[in-house]
Amino acid sequence: MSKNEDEKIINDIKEGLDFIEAKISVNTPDIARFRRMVTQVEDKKQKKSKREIIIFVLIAAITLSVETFAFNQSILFFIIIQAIAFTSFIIGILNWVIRGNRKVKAI
Amino acid sequence: MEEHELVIQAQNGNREALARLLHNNYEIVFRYLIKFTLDRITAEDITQDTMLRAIEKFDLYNSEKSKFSTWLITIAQNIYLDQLRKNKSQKKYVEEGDIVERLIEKTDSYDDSWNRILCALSRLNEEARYPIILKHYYGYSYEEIAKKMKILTGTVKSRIHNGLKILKKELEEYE
Repeated sequence: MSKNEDEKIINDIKEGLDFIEAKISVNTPDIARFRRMVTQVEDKKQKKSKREIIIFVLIAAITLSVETFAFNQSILFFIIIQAIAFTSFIIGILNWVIRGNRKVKAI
Repeated sequence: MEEHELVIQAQNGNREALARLLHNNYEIVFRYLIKFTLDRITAEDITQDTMLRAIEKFDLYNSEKSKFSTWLITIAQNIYLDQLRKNKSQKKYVEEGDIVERLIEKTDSYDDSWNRILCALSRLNEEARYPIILKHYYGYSYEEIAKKMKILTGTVKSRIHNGLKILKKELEEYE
């Protein structure tokens, strides 16, 4: 394919797209529709946030209760629970880092 | 109200300001997308998705790094590219006929060679069309296009080259 033919095609593409850019009418929705969209999405985000806080508080309460119970029953049992929790936390962090690196490599 | 003021108000939680920002920038996003999709309905759908995602991710917008319209266009590009990847194996039905008259309601006279090339461009695989427009209309480099599409630079070059070959062949058949 010759350079001149390439240039002719590219020029026609540019002029055609410029023409569409200049002449096309845009049906922008009414502002009320954007207000509704913002309200719907923001309300959904707030509900999700509240749900996450409730779950967090529940898990924290259960964890503290188990820890307190374990401490009261047996120091050894308490230490074992702490060790399991700490190890799980480290494994979780490492897993997250490794998955993050895999995503970066994939890009 | 100036866009900068709207952004500040929206970032402070003013929903009306955010709605106005999106309303004011709808046209810019649509005009950007129509050049890639060459189809009004698809461009409107992606613009709508862009607006929704912008609302969801507005907390992540940094007004010091880019203009609001630039940020919206980045979102639109990502949505469009996601669709390209998902629709890879699907053959899209392309409406026959005069594409310029389909997109523009009232036309003054226009150069028919534009219409022919745009028809051919609309029939081209989107994976070739997108880099051709980015390269030759918007002036992106091969490396920038490769980064956007998450493919190799060599792949971008071959898609553009092959795409232009297909366009030329279609135009020859027309003649």
